[in-house]
Amino acid sequence: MPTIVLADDHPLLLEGLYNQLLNLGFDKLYKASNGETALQLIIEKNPDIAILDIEMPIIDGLSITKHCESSKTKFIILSYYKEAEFIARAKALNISGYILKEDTLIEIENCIDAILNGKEYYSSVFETINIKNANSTLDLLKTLSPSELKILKLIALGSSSKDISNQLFISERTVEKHRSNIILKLNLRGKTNSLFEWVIENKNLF
Amino acid sequence: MRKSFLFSILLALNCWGQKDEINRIKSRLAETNRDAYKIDLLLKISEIYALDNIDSNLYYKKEALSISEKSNLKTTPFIVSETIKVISATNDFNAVIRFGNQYFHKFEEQKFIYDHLLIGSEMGYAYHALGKIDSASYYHEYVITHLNKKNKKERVLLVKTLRKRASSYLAVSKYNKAIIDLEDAIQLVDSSNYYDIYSIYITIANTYTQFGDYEKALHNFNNASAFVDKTDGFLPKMHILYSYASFYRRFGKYEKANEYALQGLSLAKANKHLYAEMILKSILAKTYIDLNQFNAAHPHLKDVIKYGQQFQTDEIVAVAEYDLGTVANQNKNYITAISYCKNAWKYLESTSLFMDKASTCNCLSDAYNGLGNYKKALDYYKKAVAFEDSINSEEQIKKTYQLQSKYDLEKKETIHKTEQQQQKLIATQKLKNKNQLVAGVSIVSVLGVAFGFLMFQIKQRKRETEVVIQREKEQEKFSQQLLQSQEEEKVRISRELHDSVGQDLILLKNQAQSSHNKELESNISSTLNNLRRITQGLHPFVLERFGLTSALKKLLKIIDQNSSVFISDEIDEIDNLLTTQQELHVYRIVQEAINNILKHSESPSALITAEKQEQYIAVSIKDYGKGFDWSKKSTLKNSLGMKTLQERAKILNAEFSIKSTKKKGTSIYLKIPITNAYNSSR
Repeated sequence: MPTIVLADDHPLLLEGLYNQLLNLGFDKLYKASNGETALQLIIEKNPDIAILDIEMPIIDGLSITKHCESSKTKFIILSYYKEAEFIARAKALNISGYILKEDTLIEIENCIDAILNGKEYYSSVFETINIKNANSTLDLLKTLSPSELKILKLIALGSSSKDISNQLFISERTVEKHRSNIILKLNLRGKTNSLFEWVIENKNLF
Repeated sequence: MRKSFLFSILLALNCWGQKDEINRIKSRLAETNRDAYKIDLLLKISEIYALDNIDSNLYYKKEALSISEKSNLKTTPFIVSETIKVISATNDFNAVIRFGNQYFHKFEEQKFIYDHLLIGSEMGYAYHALGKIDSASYYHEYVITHLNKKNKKERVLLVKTLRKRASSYLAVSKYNKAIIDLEDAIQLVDSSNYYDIYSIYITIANTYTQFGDYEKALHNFNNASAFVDKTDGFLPKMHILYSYASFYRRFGKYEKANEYALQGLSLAKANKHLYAEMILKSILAKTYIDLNQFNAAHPHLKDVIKYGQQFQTDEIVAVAEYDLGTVANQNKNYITAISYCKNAWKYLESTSLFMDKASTCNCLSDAYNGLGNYKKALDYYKKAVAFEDSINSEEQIKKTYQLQSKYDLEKKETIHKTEQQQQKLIATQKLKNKNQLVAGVSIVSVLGVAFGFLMFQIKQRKRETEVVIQREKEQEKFSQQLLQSQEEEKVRISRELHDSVGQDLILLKNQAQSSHNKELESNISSTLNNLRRITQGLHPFVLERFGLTSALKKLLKIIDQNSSVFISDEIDEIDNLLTTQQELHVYRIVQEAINNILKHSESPSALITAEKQEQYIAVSIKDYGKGFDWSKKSTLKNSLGMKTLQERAKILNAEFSIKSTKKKGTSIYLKIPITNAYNSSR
């Protein structure tokens, strides 16, 4: 049975998580209600897993992981924030799990399982779609940035790069750059006039 | 195009410094205490250095500038203009932008319009050189539309700017646009400035040559030639002979090309100008090779390499080397050919001179073929074909533009004709006005009396103003405090919401999940998302945690996602340059400015830039919408949003300006000084 340290400055949430873990059969549990206590517990108990709230008084979750880089403990961060910047930071800090706080109770079991098996776990809301796993046209469309979508809409209206450049007050070169990015993301490379054909075909999708 | 650039160096090399003169001026400089005289002398020294020592030239100009600025003299704008031209000539384009930014808006506010536009022109070119195309075309367009054709000085600048923009169009193969600008330039250029006229014509001719339009190129060469005859000195003559030679080569008329090259060479020799001799020998050798007279080419190529090493003109040397390789191949000296070509390749490899690259590879292929090493011969042949292909794809682009250009030029001509008719009308109108001048004089004297009375009133008012200024200062301090406490309040509310409502909602969602109430769960989720949006709007925690760069990028991304306005950004890395509080003000200014764009401008797009310079951060937010009336009376200027923007800028100690033209859009500029480098750890 793994040893687990839990830390959250919100007592009700901490209690809820504690009970949930007990119900799941984990019994070597230690609770902390601020960052400092959590850090102390991690050093003393050398747990297998530490589940930390990202925002806590005295020391926040991410800082704790920085302090314990050399320990065997794996970290799960609970976060209120959905921003991609946080995910990037967490990945850089070698954090094994990142769960959106509101989904903790339903995701924590899978997360712990994954980590005990040596894997990483990030809440399903953070799954970004990339070209490799996109299988439908709609998925492909989701990979486009807002700017690219706007350009695509103008292409659908039959505007040439020059028209677009005049309309949006950007250089033709910038339009061309977006165009080639779109072609790349939609997997349309190597065919002439393919983008326009694609746009005509899928006009109703965007 | 590159070759003509080499020629302009040649034109400049013509004069050398005069040491004695400089020492004489320096001793006078030591004697005087008068600032104006000092400036005059410093500028004189810089002018003497102008042709052969650009660093000294710049140094003395900057010295003059610092004296002028310190004493607040009227000469400042002039010196600034002269200085930026020199910085531009050093090819340090970042420095041009840094320097230009210091004065561009300041001069506009101080109504030094000419110098303001001159700086804009130089900055446009610098942005072009740095590859920031959007900013470049913005500045060029701005300068060209704001210059007054009727003012002689401004017309000269207009011609210069048009030529600069043309050269940036040429660099990206937009031949049609380049030609339109150059033809405009020809119309506007001072008709007694033969030198400029000739060089514009020759650029047009070279452009048409690139284009493959034989007739038009020849026509413009002949025009250029007519004006060359009116200029002094032999260099323009040689330039045109050289251009004729490369023009005829381009169209396969090698005999004629050879004729012109020979003429040019004898002119260079007669004037004992080694550099020109080298360039002409280089093209002469090429024409001999074109004519299969390889042994005639050989001695000239040897000379080119010898001179080229002396002048450190690597490109010319490399070209001569592979030409020598071609000659060696003809004489079956394959080993020599390979060694020449490999030398040439050392320089060419990192360039984008596809034509030369292809020739070098072809030459290498022939040499290996002669040696019986067919594998290598094939390899190089394939390489050559690849380079030729990239030329061909460029050719195709050119062809498209050629068609486009024909249409544009015709359109231009019709417009031009109507303009001429209008000018005639204006001329007749002016003649009529002359007769009314007599009546005008008496009105002027009446105005004089009124002016005297005004002066008296102004003096009296001055005293009153001092009291008002004092009061305003106090008010300013108060509003800044207000702003600060408002910000603190927002942080507090955001925190409170996050800690209480946020946590409660999370608990509720947990409960909904454990009782498997899907509908409730998803309702709570969307409430949470709303809450996130509100807290984020109240206080951008991304800024606190990840710095200004990420925060601005994120802000723009969110706006781009949620609005139909097309947002472009050029944001440098500007973290750890300001305090967190300062960063928040910058963030708020950008946020407010963009909100205004979304709410009022009706602009299809916006460009947001943040540039890191040595001593400040330059931020601009531009839109292309309907603009507004930016006069003192305007209600918008006094609106709360605008006032807050200005207050924040004041807190940042930043220069702040807004420009708005009806139907053209609005631009907001902000120049924030970096007072301390904060290496704070977040």
